[in-house]
Parts: sequence; C-alpha cells; structure tokens
Amino acid sequence: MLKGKLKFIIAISVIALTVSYLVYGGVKDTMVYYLTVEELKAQVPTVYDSRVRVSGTVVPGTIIKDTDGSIVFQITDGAQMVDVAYEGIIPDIFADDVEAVVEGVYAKNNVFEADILLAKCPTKYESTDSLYENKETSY
Amino acid sequence: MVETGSISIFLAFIISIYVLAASIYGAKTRKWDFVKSAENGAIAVLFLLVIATIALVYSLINLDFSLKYVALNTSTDLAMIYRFTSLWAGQAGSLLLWCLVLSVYTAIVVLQSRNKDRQLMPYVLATLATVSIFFIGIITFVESPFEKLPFTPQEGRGLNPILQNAYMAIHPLTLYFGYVGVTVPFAFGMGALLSGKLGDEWIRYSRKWALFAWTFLSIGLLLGARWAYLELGWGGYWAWDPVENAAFMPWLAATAFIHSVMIQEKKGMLKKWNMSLIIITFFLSIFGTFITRSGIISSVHSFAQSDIGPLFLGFIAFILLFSFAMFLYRMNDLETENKFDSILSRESAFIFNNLLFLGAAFAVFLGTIFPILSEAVTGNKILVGPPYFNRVNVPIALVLIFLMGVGPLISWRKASFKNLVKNFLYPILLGIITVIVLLALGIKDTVALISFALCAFVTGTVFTEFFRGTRVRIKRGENFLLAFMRLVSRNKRRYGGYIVHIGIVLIVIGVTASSVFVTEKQSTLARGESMELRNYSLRFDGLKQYTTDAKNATIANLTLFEGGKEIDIISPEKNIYKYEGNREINQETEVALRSTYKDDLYIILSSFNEDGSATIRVMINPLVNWIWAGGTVLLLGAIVTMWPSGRKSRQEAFVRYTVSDHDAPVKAS
Amino acid sequence: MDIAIILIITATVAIYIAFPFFLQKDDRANENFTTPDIKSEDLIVERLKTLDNQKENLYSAIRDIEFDYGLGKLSREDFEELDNKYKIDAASVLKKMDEIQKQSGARTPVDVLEQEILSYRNKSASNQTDNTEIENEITAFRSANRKIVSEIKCLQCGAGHSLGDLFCSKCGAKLNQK
Repeated sequence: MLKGKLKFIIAISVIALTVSYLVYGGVKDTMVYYLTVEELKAQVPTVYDSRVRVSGTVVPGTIIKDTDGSIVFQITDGAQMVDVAYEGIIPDIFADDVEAVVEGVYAKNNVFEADILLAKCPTKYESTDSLYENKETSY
Repeated sequence: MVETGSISIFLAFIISIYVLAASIYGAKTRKWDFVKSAENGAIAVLFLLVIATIALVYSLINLDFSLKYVALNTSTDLAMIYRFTSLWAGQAGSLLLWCLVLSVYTAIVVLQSRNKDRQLMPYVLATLATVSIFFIGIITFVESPFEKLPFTPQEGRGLNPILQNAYMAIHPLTLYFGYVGVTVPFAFGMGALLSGKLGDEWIRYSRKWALFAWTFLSIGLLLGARWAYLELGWGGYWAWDPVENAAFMPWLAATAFIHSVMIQEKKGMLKKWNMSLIIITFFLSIFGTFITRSGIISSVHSFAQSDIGPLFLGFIAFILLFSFAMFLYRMNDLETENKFDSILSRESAFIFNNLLFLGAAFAVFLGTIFPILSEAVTGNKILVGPPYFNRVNVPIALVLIFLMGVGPLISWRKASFKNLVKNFLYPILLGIITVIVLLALGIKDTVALISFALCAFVTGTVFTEFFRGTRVRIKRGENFLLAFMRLVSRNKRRYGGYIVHIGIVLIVIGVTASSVFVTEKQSTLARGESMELRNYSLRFDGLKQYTTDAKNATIANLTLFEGGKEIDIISPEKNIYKYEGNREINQETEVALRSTYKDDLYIILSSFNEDGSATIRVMINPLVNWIWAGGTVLLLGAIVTMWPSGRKSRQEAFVRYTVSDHDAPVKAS
Repeated sequence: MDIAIILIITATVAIYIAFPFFLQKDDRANENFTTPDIKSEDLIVERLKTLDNQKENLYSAIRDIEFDYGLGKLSREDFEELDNKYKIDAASVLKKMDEIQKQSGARTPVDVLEQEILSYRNKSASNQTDNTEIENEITAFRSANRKIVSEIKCLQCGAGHSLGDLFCSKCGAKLNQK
C-alpha cells in the first residue's frame, strides 16, 4: 500500500516539477520588458539589440508608408520621441495620435525595428467627450 | 421606462439581500416559510431584472440619447439588430446582462429543487444571492445602465464597427452563459460546506450545470477565435491576449472539474479535491471578468479603465477567503471511503488529467498577470507573450491528448498487462502507422508528428469503445444500428463524452496544422503581376473603388490559380467609413477568405498606392476549418451528455403512486 | 405613468415574497422539519426520493461494471467483488423503502412497479427501453426480496450465502460484507 502511495507522490511531483520547469524556462527565455519611450532612451546603450516592447502615442504627421507596405513613424510619451520602422500587418486603427505598442529591437542607429505593432483606441471607451462635441453642432 | 428600470434594479438589490438573510435564517431555525419566501424573492429578482432589461432594450432601440449608455453605444444610423446587441457592448449593459443571466439560473435552480433537499438548498440559494448582491450592487450604485447625461445629445457615439458582426453579437452571450453558469456548481459546493451535507448530493445536483457552463465556455471561446480570425485581420485565431486567457482559465479548471467529479461519483474519492476545484473554477471565472472589465492588464480588447476594478478585487478576496475558510472548517468531514490502488488505473489517469489542466491554468494565470506581478515586485513592467504560452502549454496539451486516449480504455483500480495490451494494441498501431505515413509525405516537424500520432491514437481508442460496446449489444440480439443507438442512449454521458473527445481531436488537428504549417508572403504588385505561394498563384488585376452611404471602398481584384488552373476571383477590401469623429475606427480592412477543408487562403489588401499598385499579403492556413468543424462535433457530444435520461420522471411516478393511497389528496410532487 | 408602474411592480413583488408567511396552517408551506410524525406526506416523499436515488445510483453502478466487465476493462475478481458490494447495498436500500411503505400503509412496492409499467405502456409504445429496464427491476426486486440467500457468493469457493453471514460455511473464508 505504502509503495503504491509512494509511486503516486513521485508521479505527482514529477508533473508539478515539469510544469514549474516549463514555466520558469518559458518566462526566462521569452520575457520582454515593457518600457515607455523615456525609459527606452534612458537605458541606452544596454538596451540596444535586446528585445523590448515600447508604448507611446503616434506623433501626428510622422507616418510614412513605403510602396512595399512597410512604414516608418515616430512615437512619443510626451517627453521623448523615438523613430520606429515596421513591416507587417498594420492595424486598421493605426493613425495619428493613436496609442501604439511596438515590440522589437532598438538598433544602434537609434531606429526601433519593430516586428509587432499593436494599436489601441485613443479615447477611453466610456469617455463622453465626443458627445459634447456633438452637442455643439446640433442646434 | 427609464425610471422603472432604475427602480427595478434597486429593488432587485434590496430583495437579493433579503433572499440571503431569509434563506439562512430559515435554514438555521428550520422555519420553512422563510426559505419559501426567500425562494419567491429569487423569482422576484428575476422578474425585476427582466423589467430592467426590457427598459434598457427599449431605450436602445428607440435611441434615447438622454441615457449615457445609449449615447455611447448607438447612433442614428445603427441597424436595428445591433441596437439590440449593444445591450452587451458596454460595461453597464453587459453587467446588467450578467445579472439577468445569474437571476435566470437562480430561478431555475429554485424551481428545479423544490423538495429536493431541504438542508442543502437554502444555502445554495444563499450563495447565489451573495453573488447577485455584488453584481446587482455594482449596476445599482456604480455603473448604472440608466445613468442620465446632463443634456441630450442629438447623435450617439455609435457602435464600434468591429462589433457589428454576427459572431460578435453571439460570442459575449455564450461566454456569459458559461461564466455565470460556473456560479451554480460553486453555489452547490458552498451549500454543501455550509449545510454540512458533504456527500455526493451537491455534485449530483450540479453536474448538468457544470456540463452546461463548460459547453458554453467552449462555444464562447471558439466563437471568439473565429471572430478574431475573420475580423482582426492578422490571420490567426488566438493571441494569448489577457481577455482571451480570462475565458480560457476557467475553461481549463472546469474541464478538470467535470472529469474529477466522475471519480467522486463512481468511487467516492477526491471529495476535498472537487470542493477546492470548484472554488478555483469560480474564482477564475470572476477573475476573468475582472481582467476584462477593469482594464488592469492592458489588452487590445479592453473595454475601459473603470472604477469597478477595486470592487471586483474586494469581492474576489472575500470569495476566496470565505470559501477556503469554510473548506478548512469542514475538511475532516470530507474524508474518503476508498483508496487508490495503482498508478496504472483509470483513477490515476483522471488525477493526472486534473493536475495537468490545473498546471496549464496556473501557467496561463501566471503569464497573464505577469506584468502586474513584475511591476509590483521589481518596479519594471515585464510581459510574456505568445512564445511563453505556447512553450508551456504545448507539452502539457500533448500529454493531455495522450491521457484522453488512455483514460476511457484503462480499467478501474488496477490495469493488468494483459488488459493494457488488449485495449491499446490497435490504437497504438494506428498512431505508429500515422507517423510513418506522415514521414513518407515529407512532414518532419516533431511536435506536429507527435500531435497527429496522438490524435490517431485517441481516435483509435474512441472507435474501439464504440465498436466493442456495439458488439456487446449485438451479441444480445440487436442489429447493428439499433445496438449503436441504444448504446449511446443508454450511456449518454459516456458516449457523449467520447463524441466530445473526437471534437477535441479535430480541433487539435486543425490547430496543429495551422500553427506549424502556416505559410505567408507579402508582395507589392503592379497591375498584371502575380505572386506565388505554395502551388497557388494570385494575379493582381487592378483596383476598383465604389462608395455606399457609409463607406468608401477599395477592392483589389485578384484571380486565383491553383497548380496553374484558374479557380476563383478573390476580392479583399479596404474601407474608409465616412462618418468620422464618432467612431474609433474609421478604416476597416476586409479580409478575403477562401476556405476549404484542406486549407484557408487568407488574403489582405495591406495598402495601395497612387500608381495603382497594391501590397497584398497572403497566408495559407492549413486545416483551419477542422477547428470549427471540431467545435460543432464538441457541441453535439455535449448535448448528448446533457440529454435527460427519463429516469427522473420514473422516480416521480414511483413516489406519486406510493403515496396516492393516502386519505389526504395532496400531490406528492 | 412610470410612478404607477413602479408602484404596481413593488406591490406585486412584496406580496409574492410575503405570501409564504400567510398560508394556512395545515398547508405544507408552514411545516416544521422536525416533525417526528413519520406519516407526514412530505417526509415520506422526501425519504423515498432519497432512497430511490440511491437505488438508481446503485443499479446504474451495477450496469456500469457489468458493461465494463463485458468490455474487458474489469477483471473477474474485481467485478465480482464490486458486484457483491453493490447488490448488498441495493438490497438494503430496497428493504428500507419497503419498511417506509409498509409503515405509511401504501400498496406493496411490487404493485406499485406494475402500475408504473402500465402508465408507461399507456404513453408511447416506443419507450421500450424503460419497460425492459423496469421489468428487469421487478425481477431484481423480487429476487432481492425472496432470494437474498443466493445473493452473496464466497469469493474463495463461490458458495452462496445470505445477507447476515460473516464466514463461508464451505471453506471458512471471510465473506466480504462491505
């Protein structure tokens, strides 16, 4: 009986340890720092060539589309700006003033080479600001 | 109408408090009229919430912009059907829907259980009332759907175009049916802990609810994946986004639960485990909705940053503390009668299944809250993305698929070597043959090979089960068709479960193929030029533009060739919506999708230039349709497992006849 | 207009909730759990339902192990051990049901089950499954009532014994009564 129970405990431990190992290894190898533009610039030169994620607002007028579909633009956190080059699927919502998240590598030429681009709605979903604008024009 | 709605919600809140108090008081003092009054209260809450919902729907359909919720989510050009579905598009409305669904479930539990178990049921009702108090409290005091604006705008902000789509209309509903459904087994568990009735009753009564909630969580997840695939335009269906994970975690725990309760029913074991598991499942469900609503973890999906976050946290903390306190209090009474015999048995297969599901849930949970955790601990925000989730979950999933095949066939208690060989020989052979065939076809990816081999193995075991079961009945004299039908109808849970497993196998095959063997290419083409991917070729025939009332559309006309033969015309679009300013997205990419059972051709018009050239992105996703097909099979299997078995009505008849001989002509049921 | 609707709603709800407190004394709604009177309608109904539930669970457990044994998932020893256990439990449940029915003066259980068959034959002829099951039940019930003697087999030598026996009269082995 005890031997059977021991086998069980061993098996359960194996499972728990394997999962823990997978989690630990997974986190260690894939973790990505999430920085603001200011933080990114502050961590030069150590941050060069390591994979990070940066968020910021798209600076109006800086989006330039190339004929092959890739784009360059600038994002800012209000204090600092950084150049971004991206090739890939561009979210529909991506435009001036949109909150963008880029993930990739900050190259030594100070251009952030992104392979992931996400964009979020600029206004808070529940904000009523736009309604006030409507009110102005309605009468 | 609006005042009526408002007051109804407030009354529902007050009465829910009464239901909690009266059910506990009635149970403790054994005063049946208090319990009955509490039951009536639960039905009254349903009545009131229906009125409130009707009031809100009425306001939405009639575009009453004086209400903040209506103004934020509708506009004068919104189609009627989407005025209705905007009921769950925003925070307050979706919370009201949650309350409504919860009150429907509570009322059904009350009606189903009249006379079932007088010791247990009042505490079940009390638990349901407590959860209701929280949610109804939020919509009464914090996020009221009937909040008015200080003025009445002439135009509303409009519904996000992404939500104006059939899938998006149904997906939240099915998820809510699932999320809220988890509350019922949890309430039964708490009822057992509070009342001291720690036997099988709570599991037996809540079993169908657990299956029901699980089914809807599954459907909700699949619909969400399909919507993401069709609408979000990146060619994938799952991004390990926090909101997706929020629904996935309770699904994992619920799957573990519906399996481990089988052990308790058959063998009386795992009582403590099941109790803890349902608490965890419920916790994950509430946590899931908390993540989605509070915006605490930034996600592309998030509704809003809002004040309800801290309230949710408080509620979650309360639930966890109270449940586990009760659990510890009753722990000694949750002893089991039986012991485990051997590691090579069905019992242990189920236990390993549970451990793995929980391991996966833990891994996903950790990955999801990692940014918050890391920021709290180190001050730096660190996140882990799809690579982490895939790396951790794929091995776990592979072992689970293996267990899915082993579990049904392995014997209880202790499997002998002879038994193992007899049961698993053919399925194992099938798996090996599959690997050989795939290698011959040129497929070399290890994970894919293992996955497909295991799927073949599981399919083999399921067919073995059906075949052997039918054969046993044929020996008793039934013909094949009758034997098969009777087999399934006499053992709905077992065979329905096997059908669900087949659905899962189809989904796994689809996911494996579309993850491992996806190919993608982006090219900029001038008119007349072609691009090639695999043995498909796309010729760009030019751009076309048209306008409707709502949008300016640009279409790229492409001709598709397969192996040189012309087979189809593909037209991906890029649309600009005219009404700017009140929409968050005014540009929309419409994917052109050509789906077959072999693969999906996913074509996007990325951008176009003034010289008439266009940038086209093509993806070939193999076997994606298998995922949706598997989902349908899963649903069918789930329906079979939940189908009533006619046993209850016999029990009623039996009891009715037993007491009908009495003097007092009172109905027994 | 709204005020009127609100008042009506509030009144309806209040009445519905207060209703159970005002029911007649001899109505079951006001009944107290702790009534020791076993003849009380409700208690009989509740007890019978609980016992019937247990009975059904045991029958389905027996069906399951028979099925698993037929499919080769259960060894002969395991099957017989479990089969014995379930049959003992089922017989004792049936005995308890029998006692309650005798005390409450109802008809004998066998008559009741025959009533059931009649009611189902009247419903739809295609409900064969239930009929077969019920008839099997009666057979099982009858044999449980009369032939409990041969219900328990000695696991060593296979000799039959009655419910109360502790040791095999043939080979002396302990009978697995649990």
